Amino acid sequence: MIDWDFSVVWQNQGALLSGLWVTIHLSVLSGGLGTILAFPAAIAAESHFKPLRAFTITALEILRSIPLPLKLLWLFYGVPYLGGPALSPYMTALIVFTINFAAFVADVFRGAIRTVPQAQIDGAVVLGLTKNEIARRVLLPEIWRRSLPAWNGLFITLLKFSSIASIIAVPELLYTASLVLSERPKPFEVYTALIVMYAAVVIPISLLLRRLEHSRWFAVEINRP
Amino acid sequence: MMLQADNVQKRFGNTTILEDVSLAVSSGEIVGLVGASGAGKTLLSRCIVGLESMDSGTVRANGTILGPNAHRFDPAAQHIRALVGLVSQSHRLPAYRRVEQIIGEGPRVVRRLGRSEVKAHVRKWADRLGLTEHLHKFPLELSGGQLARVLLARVAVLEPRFLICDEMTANLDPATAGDVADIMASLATHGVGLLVISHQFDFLRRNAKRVVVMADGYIVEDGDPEQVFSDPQSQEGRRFLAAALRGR
Repeated sequence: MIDWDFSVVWQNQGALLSGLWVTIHLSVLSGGLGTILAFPAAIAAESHFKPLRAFTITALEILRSIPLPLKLLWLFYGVPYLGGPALSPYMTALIVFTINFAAFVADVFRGAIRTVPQAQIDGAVVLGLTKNEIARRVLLPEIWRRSLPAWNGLFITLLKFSSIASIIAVPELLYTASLVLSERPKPFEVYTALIVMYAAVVIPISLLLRRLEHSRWFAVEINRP
Repeated sequence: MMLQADNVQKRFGNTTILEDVSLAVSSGEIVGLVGASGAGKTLLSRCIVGLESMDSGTVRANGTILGPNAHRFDPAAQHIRALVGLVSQSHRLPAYRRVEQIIGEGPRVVRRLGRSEVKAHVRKWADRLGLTEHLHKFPLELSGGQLARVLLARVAVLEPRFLICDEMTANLDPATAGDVADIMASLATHGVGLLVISHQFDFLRRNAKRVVVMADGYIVEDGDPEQVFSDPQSQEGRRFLAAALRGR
């Protein structure tokens, strides 16, 4: 007979919830900052100025090709070794997740830039909008809306992969669970609780984002009549 | 006031698309521009508002001269666009903005008017174009005719002195096309000079002061609508008009 004992979860609920909170704000913050960073990166990667385009595309490719745990370990241990500042585990994770997310989202934005119809831009030019106004009022909203489905997928992945930050002792959910387990070795109960907690966060966010995708506020241009 | 395109020439690679094209539109008059697909009508309209650069030739309006090889954001092109609006059914609307926001964009962003002035302008033009009850809608909720009127309204609200309407009645049923045509005619009575690219010959016959026929990048006919439609002088004009009338 299996001796289930979920009291370990109940007794450590404060620690686990605070771990969950770290997971959420680390993901939301790096997701938000990464998205902001991805806009100029995507525009630079689509630039007509060849050196800028080549530099940005190369940088994005390199960033995407390095495994995420390696990026975390390198920044956490390697940078102080090279004489750089010693960053806290949280700050390291925030920087790495932000840059990593930006590198992937920039590529999504880059694809979206190409799908904004020239006719929509022409319509704005004819109205008398300046270059900056067109970038701000036509391109950005269109790129954002066209990228939303792919962005949603990347953000949910970020939320789940934030558990990798446990390798540099960021006190997020998985790391907190390992601390709990070191005192009360009840892995089945604790990991089951973690599954429930991740699902409780990821599923509503995922549903909300999907709903947003289909709302008319996020509709993309049409070509009628 | 006059909008004048002189000796406009445009090439893509070795292919000449517009060859020495000149035409003029005065305030309050309608000039019809007709021709087969690929004749260069749309390209000419894009050159006039500076969306495409010309290889040679000039566009003049109210003392502003747009010369050849000008970038689309060249100050002269922007001056011309402040005077000359271009409405095309190929232009697309942001699907996530309401009609009210779409029409108000020009007054708000380009004219930098205050909130109440923008609202007043939008109401005025929505009323004139029969869009008042659709102001809260999104483009996806509009019919083809309503969309055409929104496209017209968002340019007309800036009250340009000249308006180029590129195939605004194409793809519309005859009744709706008639409504849109009436709106264009009423703009002319309010002093706007219109260059109307259209195959609604009846509308042009009734309202246009002149009709210009283009073929293969050249102007082959330019004259009174009755004379152009019933007695074209050039072989290309005769061929196009005969084919167009056969297809009706």
